[in-house]
Amino acid sequence: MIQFENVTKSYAGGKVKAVDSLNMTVEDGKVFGFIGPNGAGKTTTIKMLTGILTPSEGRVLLNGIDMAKEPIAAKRTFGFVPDAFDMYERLTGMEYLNFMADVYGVDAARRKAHIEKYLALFELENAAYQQIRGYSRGMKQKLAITGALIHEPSIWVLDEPMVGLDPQSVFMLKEEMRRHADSGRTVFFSTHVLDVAERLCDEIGIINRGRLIAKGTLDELRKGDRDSSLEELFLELVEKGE
Amino acid sequence: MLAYWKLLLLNRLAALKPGGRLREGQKRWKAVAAYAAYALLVLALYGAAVFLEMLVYHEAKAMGEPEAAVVLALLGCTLVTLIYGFFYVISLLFFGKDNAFVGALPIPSWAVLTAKLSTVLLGEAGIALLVGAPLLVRYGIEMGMPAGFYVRALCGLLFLPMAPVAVAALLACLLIRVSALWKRREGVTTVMTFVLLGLIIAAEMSLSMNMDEEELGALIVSMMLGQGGLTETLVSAYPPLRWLTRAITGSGLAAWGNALLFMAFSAGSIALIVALFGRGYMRLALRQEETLSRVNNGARRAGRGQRTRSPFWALYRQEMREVITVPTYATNCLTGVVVFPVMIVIMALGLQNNGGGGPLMQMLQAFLPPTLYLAVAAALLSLTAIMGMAVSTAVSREGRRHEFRRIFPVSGRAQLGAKLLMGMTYNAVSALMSAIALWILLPAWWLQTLIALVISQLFSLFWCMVSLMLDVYHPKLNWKTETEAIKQSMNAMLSMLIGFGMIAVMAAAAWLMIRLRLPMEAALAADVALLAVGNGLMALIMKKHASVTYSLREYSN
Repeated sequence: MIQFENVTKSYAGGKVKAVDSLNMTVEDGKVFGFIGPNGAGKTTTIKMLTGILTPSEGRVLLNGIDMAKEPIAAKRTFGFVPDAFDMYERLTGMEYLNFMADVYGVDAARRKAHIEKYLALFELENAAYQQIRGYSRGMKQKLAITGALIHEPSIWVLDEPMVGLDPQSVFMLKEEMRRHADSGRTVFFSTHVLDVAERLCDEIGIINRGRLIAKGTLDELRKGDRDSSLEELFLELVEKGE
Repeated sequence: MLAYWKLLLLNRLAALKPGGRLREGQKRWKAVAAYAAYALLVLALYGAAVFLEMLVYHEAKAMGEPEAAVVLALLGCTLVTLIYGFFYVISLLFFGKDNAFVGALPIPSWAVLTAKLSTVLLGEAGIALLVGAPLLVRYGIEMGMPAGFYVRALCGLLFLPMAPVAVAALLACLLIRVSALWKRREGVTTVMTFVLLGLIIAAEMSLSMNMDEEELGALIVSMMLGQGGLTETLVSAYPPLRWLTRAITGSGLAAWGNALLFMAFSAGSIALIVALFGRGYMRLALRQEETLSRVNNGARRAGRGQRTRSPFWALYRQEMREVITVPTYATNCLTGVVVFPVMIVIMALGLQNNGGGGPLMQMLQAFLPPTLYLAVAAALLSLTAIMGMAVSTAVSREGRRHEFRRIFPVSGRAQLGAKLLMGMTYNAVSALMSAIALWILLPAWWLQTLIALVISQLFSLFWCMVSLMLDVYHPKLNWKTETEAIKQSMNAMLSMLIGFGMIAVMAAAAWLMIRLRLPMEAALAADVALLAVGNGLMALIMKKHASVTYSLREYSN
């Protein structure tokens, strides 16, 4: 479970608020889609959620663990897929996965099973022993996803995960996200692809100018207007907030 | 070709502008202050070099042979260009980020090579001019040389770097060609770079050490009699230097003839490189960009690489391998660490082979107090630590990965600990190699060498912590190429200065205690205590403050 309690991130001595008083809970067993226009505060929120940034006010709790008070324990609870994976380029895919497994303290048997499972799922078996810098963007993304899931995190955080993936991989990723949530765990992801959010998410949060302007299931967001699409809702809500 | 050459020059010049060094989010005054400090440091180093030149000139003149100082300066420029030019040439020719881009442009391969070599030459000629001009102008004025002298000196200095750059380019091309045969070509490149560097240093040192006793005696006598022996000995180390020396210090047609000969030789060496490698250069450079699809197939077959490690050791291993496997990092971080012990080892082996080491060392052991040897050895081994810049750029090298690393469930203390241990490991290997060389030279003082090694590691710990903290508080994370991450690092320069300062403080403290008639052992013990206190303090700051800053500071904003 993810909880944002009155989370604010401000800059320039409080004059600029990238995220403003965010109160939000994402329950276990849910796929949560976080959407918003460019510069709305999605990445800042994800950075605070993952402990990269510290909130100016408020707190972030992961499975009840306060990120500010127990960062190491909190970080063990999630796996993170960044928006662009351009690091450790001289390692081979396998070396990277083993490194991630070591960092998260995954034992030999579990890591072997997980690595084999995801490499097969994403058809990376042959590429696993090549240097990452030879990978395509999609292959890097798949490797990042495998690395994030290697310790079976209860919370899976993804920043724009569909970018660069081929349709087959997008399908498999959505399946995996669904499976993750169905097993009682949480998926939190940001996206610009509203169709994906509409079809995949159990709950959706819309952020604009640092403020959460809507949150709920698609039906709750529609408020009885059953015919409107998420795209129409999104545009309407964002325009209202302008 | 000219357009590409112009682009390269503009790119270099842009890096020199204060505005061009302004990093995203950095305040302008900070960038200007950093630039000014950097410029001041470079000026100080330049001033020191010129001062040294003048000192040598003064001594050479007193011996009645001022030409020796001129030759020494020219020889120094040649050797420095050869050693440092090699790294510059190899990184520009083969690890430049624009290779793939240029490969797609309609520019012939030889033209790209020529443009790149011209850029190197321009920089090296500028340095040679800056270093050589003060001495040659003084020599010219004091000797009452005519205008032709200045023209020949100018031409000589401008052409001086050509031959060493040609040799560096030849070695670089051969190195890349050979390393391309291996799967782990970057590792091979790194290792072979250091092997080549070792060979260059060995050749250079053997030139000065292979003089037998008769030659040495004759040289001393001729120097005392003012017969020009020193100049002759120096120019014999690198024959083209004889033409240049005669061109600069001579007169009349003979001097002009020698000048033309030297310039033809220098320009010819570059032309030869372009003729030899011009056609195949781009193909060779682009091989560096190729995907290494066969990498580590052996590991797959053997099913290796799934050994579990603790997070700390995984990070430590990652830190260690990054420095070795990225050639840009290896050549910048480990040059000092490798060169220094290589010099000591070569010196030790040279003395052993010449048979001159035995009596000299016996004499040393008879007259030198063991404690003084211990102090000197400890200082020498400590110096090896401050030559490397692996720790002082450890956080900066993370670049965009820094944010990703902060999501790891590993404390900042452990992450910094892994970096610290990485630096300590490289320093320890370097110090150990030097210590073994000392032990070979002076086997009777093995215990003192061992104690010196331990003291040097105490110093290394202190210095590594200082360097790491400098980088924690002032990292350079917004880089795009690995070269940017590590080149012209203010942290590396500062930590090196702090290291020198610390050794000086320790030497001064020991000297003061000896002056106060305390035994040398007590002075050494005081130094060790000083180090221990320093280490304790640094460890405390790192634990309480630096590790928190590393974990929580928002570098990205």
